[in-house]
Amino acid sequence: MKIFRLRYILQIVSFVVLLWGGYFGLRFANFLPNWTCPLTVYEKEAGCYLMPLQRLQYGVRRDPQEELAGVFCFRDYSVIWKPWKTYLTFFGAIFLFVLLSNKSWCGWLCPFGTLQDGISGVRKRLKIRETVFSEGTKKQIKVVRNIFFAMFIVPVLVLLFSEVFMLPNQKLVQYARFPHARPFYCNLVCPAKTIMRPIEANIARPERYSNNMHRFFMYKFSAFISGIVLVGIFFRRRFFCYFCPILALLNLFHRASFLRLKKKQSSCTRCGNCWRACPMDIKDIYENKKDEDIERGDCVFCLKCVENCPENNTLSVKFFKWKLFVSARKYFFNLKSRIK
Amino acid sequence: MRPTLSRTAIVLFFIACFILLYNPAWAGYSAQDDYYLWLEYDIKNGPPDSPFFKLLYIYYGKRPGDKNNLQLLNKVEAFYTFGAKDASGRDIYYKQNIIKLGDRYAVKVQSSERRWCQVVVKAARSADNGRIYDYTAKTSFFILGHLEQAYLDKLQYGKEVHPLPIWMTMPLKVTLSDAKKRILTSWRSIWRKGDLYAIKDKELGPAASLDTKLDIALDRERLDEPDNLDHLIYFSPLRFMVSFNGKPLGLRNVRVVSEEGIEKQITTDRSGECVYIAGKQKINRDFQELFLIEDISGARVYRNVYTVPFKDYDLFYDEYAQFPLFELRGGFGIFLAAFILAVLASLYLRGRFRA
Repeated sequence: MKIFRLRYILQIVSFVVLLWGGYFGLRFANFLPNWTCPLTVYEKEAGCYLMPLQRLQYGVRRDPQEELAGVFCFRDYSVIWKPWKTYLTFFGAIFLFVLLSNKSWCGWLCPFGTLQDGISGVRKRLKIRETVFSEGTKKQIKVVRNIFFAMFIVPVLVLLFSEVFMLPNQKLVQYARFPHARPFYCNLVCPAKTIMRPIEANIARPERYSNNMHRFFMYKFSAFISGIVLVGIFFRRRFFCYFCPILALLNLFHRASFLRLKKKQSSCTRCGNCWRACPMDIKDIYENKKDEDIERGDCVFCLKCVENCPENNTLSVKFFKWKLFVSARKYFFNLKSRIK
Repeated sequence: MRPTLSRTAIVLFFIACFILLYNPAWAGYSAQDDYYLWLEYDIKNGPPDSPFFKLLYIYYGKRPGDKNNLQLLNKVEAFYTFGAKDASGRDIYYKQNIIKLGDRYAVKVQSSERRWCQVVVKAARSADNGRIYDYTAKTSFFILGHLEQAYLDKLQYGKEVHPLPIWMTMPLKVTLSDAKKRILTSWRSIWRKGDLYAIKDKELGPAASLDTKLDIALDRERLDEPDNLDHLIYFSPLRFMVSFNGKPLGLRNVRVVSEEGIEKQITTDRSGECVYIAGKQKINRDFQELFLIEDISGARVYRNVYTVPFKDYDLFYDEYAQFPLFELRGGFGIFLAAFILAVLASLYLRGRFRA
């Protein structure tokens, strides 16, 4: 099977399951807390862009009839995480995920990434030119991403330490119940929160759809950001990934990952195919003439570079010492969808 | 007698008459004759639902916010039902103890599974004028609304929520569903390694018969969609049924008193039914309203209060339903402005459009 086909299938499955799985009883937040925002434990309506399903998970479960439909939902017992455990699991799970699969969440699973790919596909069909960022612009964007990351992580750490240092429980509870306990990034910036909502159309209750649509515009600043991001996504592949704080979060651990992107410098002809195929426009992948480990901070691990490398055994994906996927001339020429 | 003196005497005489006329003891009634008995949810300290417990405060007074005068009543009894019915179709009620929390009295109901529950508190008082006042306070709700809040309950109720090993909560006789539950629960607990909070059902108290002559009942289903009390939302129409000895009381006034003491009136139709739609609360997301009804039969005065908790769940509540989709203000305007600006900026910066 071609890698791009596998990626498309996984992206679509992930998109469907994470967005609408709640309707079919696949409520991961009840079951696996790993990919849910640690601050939404007490929130009912919160929707994390990692898992927009989460809003549904806390939502539809309140309906007794739908509650019974849940596969992993028990009526008699309740397993609840203490906040510090939730945080620990959240970061632990992210570390474990990165350790095993690097940043493949972004390239292969993230529903918002899939949406971005879809919109870019429409642009390509319309034969509209893609916007190219200069290296200087990319550096400036990185600063913005770090600011977003700080907005995302600081409230999490504050809450975590407030519990570790034994602030009075009641205060913590009150704070946790307070809706603005969510990270500033989530409340103020996150465009996926607003853009994903209309897509999460409630199949079980179609009459609620208008509510979902209206929620799209509820967070004013997010609505502003969303307008810009939607246009950005159209003109630039994976536009929001440049700003995404989750990519920054995964970057904290990516150097420890067992899954690596390697380049054999001796066989590289500097054709630049890898760079042109890269949705994140990482020039270093073909310009670099020294490093074997070629994975960079912006990389979303989509492996399009490996697919589009025409040289045998030049770019490869390794898990420990095992090569999982290697560039090959035959594969390249068989590839139906060429660069861009 | 001098004219000024006589005028003063007349005025004093009328003042004395006025005082005597309105003196409760002289007039033959006490201040308590205006009192009602009602149940209140502790909304200020948290939402009116919790996974396992429901604490309801009992008040006796004129209106919400008054001093609680429950100690003035000699015999107050609390009952609850989970909706089970006996052979004759009547609800089976169980007696529940009234507990004292500080200077307040309360009834606590608990259940380890999601259940509809109704709490009724009854009291009677004989007045000096020979009348007998019969008070009933009533409310209904769901227990186990938020599974995810069990941790908060643990903080609030402390020792009453125990992390229990799974096997202790399982029945000895294992049915197919129990076995499935056991496998899945263990699997899930292994995955999550969280604390498993479970409580056993409280021993049900002695069954008691509850004879309520004047009754105000709330339809468990909302009118517009098959939902239940757990999802009471602003603007959601509620249907009440008022009856006396099982017969509907038509064209009867029902007083609706808010937590702030603001009073409204609704009237039942000929079949004893009335529909009420709560107004939007700007400040409180959760609030409660009391539905008061009174009926006099001979020397007996029946007073019945139904407490309805209202909640606002964003999910189930379409605030903008009245607006057509593209008449949205604010957010949509900002989104559209940002979108157009971004398009213009990109076109300007890109130089050319097509590849």
